[in-house]
Parts: sequence; structure tokens; C-alpha cells
Amino acid sequence: MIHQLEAPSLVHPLGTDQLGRDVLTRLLHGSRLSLGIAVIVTTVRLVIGTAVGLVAGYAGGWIDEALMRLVDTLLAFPGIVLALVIAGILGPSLVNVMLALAVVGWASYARLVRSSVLSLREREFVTAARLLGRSRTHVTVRHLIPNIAAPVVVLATLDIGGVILGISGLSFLGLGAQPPTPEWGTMLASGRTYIRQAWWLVNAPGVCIMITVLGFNILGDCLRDRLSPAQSNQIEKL
Amino acid sequence: MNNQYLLKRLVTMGIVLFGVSLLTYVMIFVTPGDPARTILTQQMGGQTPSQEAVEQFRVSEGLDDPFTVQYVRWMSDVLQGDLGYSYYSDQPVTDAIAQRLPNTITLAVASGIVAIAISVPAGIASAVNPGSRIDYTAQFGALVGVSMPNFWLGYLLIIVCSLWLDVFPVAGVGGLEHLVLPAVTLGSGMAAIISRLVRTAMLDVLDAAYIRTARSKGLREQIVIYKHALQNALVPVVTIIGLQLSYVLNGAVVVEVVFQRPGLGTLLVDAIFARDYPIVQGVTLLIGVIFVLTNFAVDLTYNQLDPRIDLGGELM
Repeated sequence: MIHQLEAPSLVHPLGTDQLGRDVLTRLLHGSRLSLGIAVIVTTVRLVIGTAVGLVAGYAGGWIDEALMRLVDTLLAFPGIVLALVIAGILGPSLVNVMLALAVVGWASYARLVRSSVLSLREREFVTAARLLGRSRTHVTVRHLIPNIAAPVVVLATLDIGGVILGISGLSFLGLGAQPPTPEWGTMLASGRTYIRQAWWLVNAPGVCIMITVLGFNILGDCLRDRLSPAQSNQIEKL
Repeated sequence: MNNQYLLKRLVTMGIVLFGVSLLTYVMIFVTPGDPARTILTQQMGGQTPSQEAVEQFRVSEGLDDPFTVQYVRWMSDVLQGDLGYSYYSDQPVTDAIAQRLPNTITLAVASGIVAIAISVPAGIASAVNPGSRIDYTAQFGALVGVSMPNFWLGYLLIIVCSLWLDVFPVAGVGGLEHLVLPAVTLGSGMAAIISRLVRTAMLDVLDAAYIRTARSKGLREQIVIYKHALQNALVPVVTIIGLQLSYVLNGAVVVEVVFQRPGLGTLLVDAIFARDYPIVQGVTLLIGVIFVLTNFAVDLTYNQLDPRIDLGGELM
């Protein structure tokens, strides 16, 4: 085999790996994977969490109580640990990691949406709509969702970074994408064997993950300042 | 402390603890694979057990009982301090945990110290000079810190400090020198989160009327900042540091793998790959319970530190 573990050069700007593959090419290819998956997982979290939060906030009573205790239970575990166990039980694969991260991560959305619904419920325009005899669905779709959209989108943007870290972390531990998939965490994990000969193998994917997550975090911070300065405290707490 | 509030919190905590135990049990209960077969194969040194032996074992161990019966039996064992035995080594799960727990606690405490040592001064410096170069540097540093995957930071530190500079050992446990790199790896991520909150909390406090009063009395700026402002800003900060336990436990898993430290994290990861479910169950339950209890303690501390917080108020 040729071109194994070559240091960064003009031909291979980020060097080559133990099989002579160009690291930059693999990273670029892997970005499609990491970004796509992160967006899917975050969307699933957002949809489940918003639905649960709306139901809990609107229904009240024992339904609210039961759903919120479920949320408390999920939030009682450090996210990655729970996702690790679920993904481990399902067996190592990228789909299982996505599933695990989606299942453990919707609780903070539910909490945010529920508390927004509770405060919106008392507002005049909602009361007015209800007095006009509008159905629950109408009130939810026309009056509640538009008003909770901004903080939820901000939370989701801030969440994507965490999801990317989660996916690459679980892949790093060997539960997510398997080699030769060019997933960033998987690449970092296979690079650690050659840490003495080829320092770029762990650092290139590491920098990639960091820059991507940093980008989403900056975007999330800006969106929060723009869209929902009032709720920024609440989002921070989650 | 308001008794009614305490009672309410205790009840909620009890429900959540029940939820945690149920979730832990269900997760393992629904795993594919037959525990009877796994245990017998192990006991017979890798030979495939006969169908009758499996059936018999299932009956004698109560694995055929309904879910609720099995859950109650497991729960009563757990409450008596019996978490079962590892599938592979016959070691009680509690022993395996007790062996590894001290290393994880050491790591958690050390990284907490690193985090506080970095974040509190950085947060104060930012808040005292908002908009200054120091502020921007600290804020950007915090953003980078939050965005950095700790498994990468670990290897980066190993490459630079161990392989190139040869200052610290690459991996393992032992003296203080083995603790430095893992603690810095885990602590810097935490520091990033805490410093942002110290900054926000300090900014809020510095706006308050009593700070203006203290300044107009002619008190020295240092006294205003450290005595009047910092003490009040610490209230939310304590909560956040408590909640950082989640970050520590998440991060410990990865950091222990990177530095090959035998702790709860490595125990969990190894058990997951070995499909040693009693260990997985035990560690998960322990982590959940620790987390719930800490949050409870943090809540109470929060109330103690700031008597203005309405104790009888709504929980959420």
C-alpha cells in the first residue's frame, strides 16, 4: 500500500491515514453525514418535545402531571449516559445512535413549550379566541404555536451543537458509525492508534467538529438575542 | 425552611426516583437476548446449555414471572443493596462499582476545582469590564470551550504534553501526575459553561441599587465587587455548578476512555460492549440516583443562600 500516514503536504493538505486515504476528502465527505444526521435528530427532538409540551400545558391535570414526571425522569439522567445505554442495548449502528439521542433529548423542549403555553393561556388574545368558541386545535395552531416558535427555534439551534457532539462522541466510543464510514468521531477513534506517528489523524476531525459546533453555537446565541431576548434566561436554564 | 415546600419536593423526588428505577429496569428487560441462556452458557464455560436446563433455570430464577413481579423483586433487592452479579465474572455489581467509584469521584472533584479556578476569575473580569477586550476574549474562549469535543481535547493534551513535551504520563491512574490531563480536559469544558453564567450573574447584580449605594458611599471598587456583588452573584452560580454534575458524568465516560482510567465510565462502556447487563443496570441506576439527589440538594442550598426565593411557590 502506498501513501500511508503521510504528513500534511500540498497534495494532501491534512495528510493521509493508515490506509493511505486523503484525510481532507474524508472529512468533507463526512460533513454531509454529520450535519444531516444532526439536523434530523434535532428535528425529531423538537417535534416530540413540542407535541408533549403543548399537550401537557393545554390539558393540565393528571395528563400534565404524568408527562412532566416523564420529562423529569428523562432529565434525571445525564443525556449521553442514557443515550449510550440505549444505543448499546440496540447494538452499534448510526441509526441506533440517532434513535437514542432523539429519545433522550426531547424533554427540554417539552419543558420550554409547556411553560410558554402556561403563560400564554392566561393572555387576553387566547382567552378571547376561546370565548369566541374556537376549538382547541384552532387556538393551538393559530395562537399558541406562532408564539412559541421563536424560543423553540433558538433552543433547537443551540441544541444542534450538542447533538453533533453526542453523535461524534458515541461514534468515538464505537457505538455509532462503523469504519470505513467517514464519520468524524469514528475517524478520530481510528486515528488514536497512530497518535505517535500521525498527530493529524485525531486533530483534523477534532478541529472539524469544534468549528461546526462553534458555528451553531454562535448562530444560536445571535438568534436568541434577536428573536427572544425575553426568554433567553429560560433557555439558558435548560 | 418551609416544611410544606420540603414535603412537596420530597414527594416529587420520590416519583422521579421511581421513574428512574423503572426506566433502568425496562431498558434492560426489553433487551434482545435471553438472560437465562447467557448466564448458563457462562456458567458452563461457553458450552451451549440444553433446552431443558434453560427452562429449568428460567423457572428457578423467576424469569418467567410477570414483569411487575420481577420488577418488585429486583427493586426490593436493590433497596437491600443487592444489584445482582456480573454475567461474566460472578463479581457482585456493587463490588465492581465500589472498586471504580473512587477514581471517578477523584476525577470529578479535580475537574471541578480546575473549572472553578478558571471560570470564576474569568467571569468576574468579563462582567467588571463589559465590552472590553478582556470580556470578548473570555466570552469567545468560553464559546470555544463549549464547542470543543472533550475526547479531542484529551488527545490534543496527550499529544502536546505527553508525547512532545513528555511532562505527564499518557494514560492510567496513579499519582497526581495521572490526574492533571484528565482533570484539565473535563474541567475546561465545565469552566466554559460556568464562566458565562458567572458573567451574567455578576452583570445582573452590578446593576442593582445596593451596588450603586455602595459605590456612592465611596467604598473601594474591590470591596464593592468582591463583597457586595460576588456574594449575591454566587447564588445562581452555585446552582449551575451543582447542575454541572450532569456534564461531569457525561464527560467522565469519554474522558476515562481517552485516558484509560478505570472508573464508572469505563466500567459502563466495557459492560455495554460485553452485554453485561447487570453491570449496565447498576451503573445507570446509580448515576440516575446520584443526579436526582444532587439536584435536590442544589435546590435546597439555593433556597438557603437566597432567602428571598419564594419557598411556597410553584415548582416549575
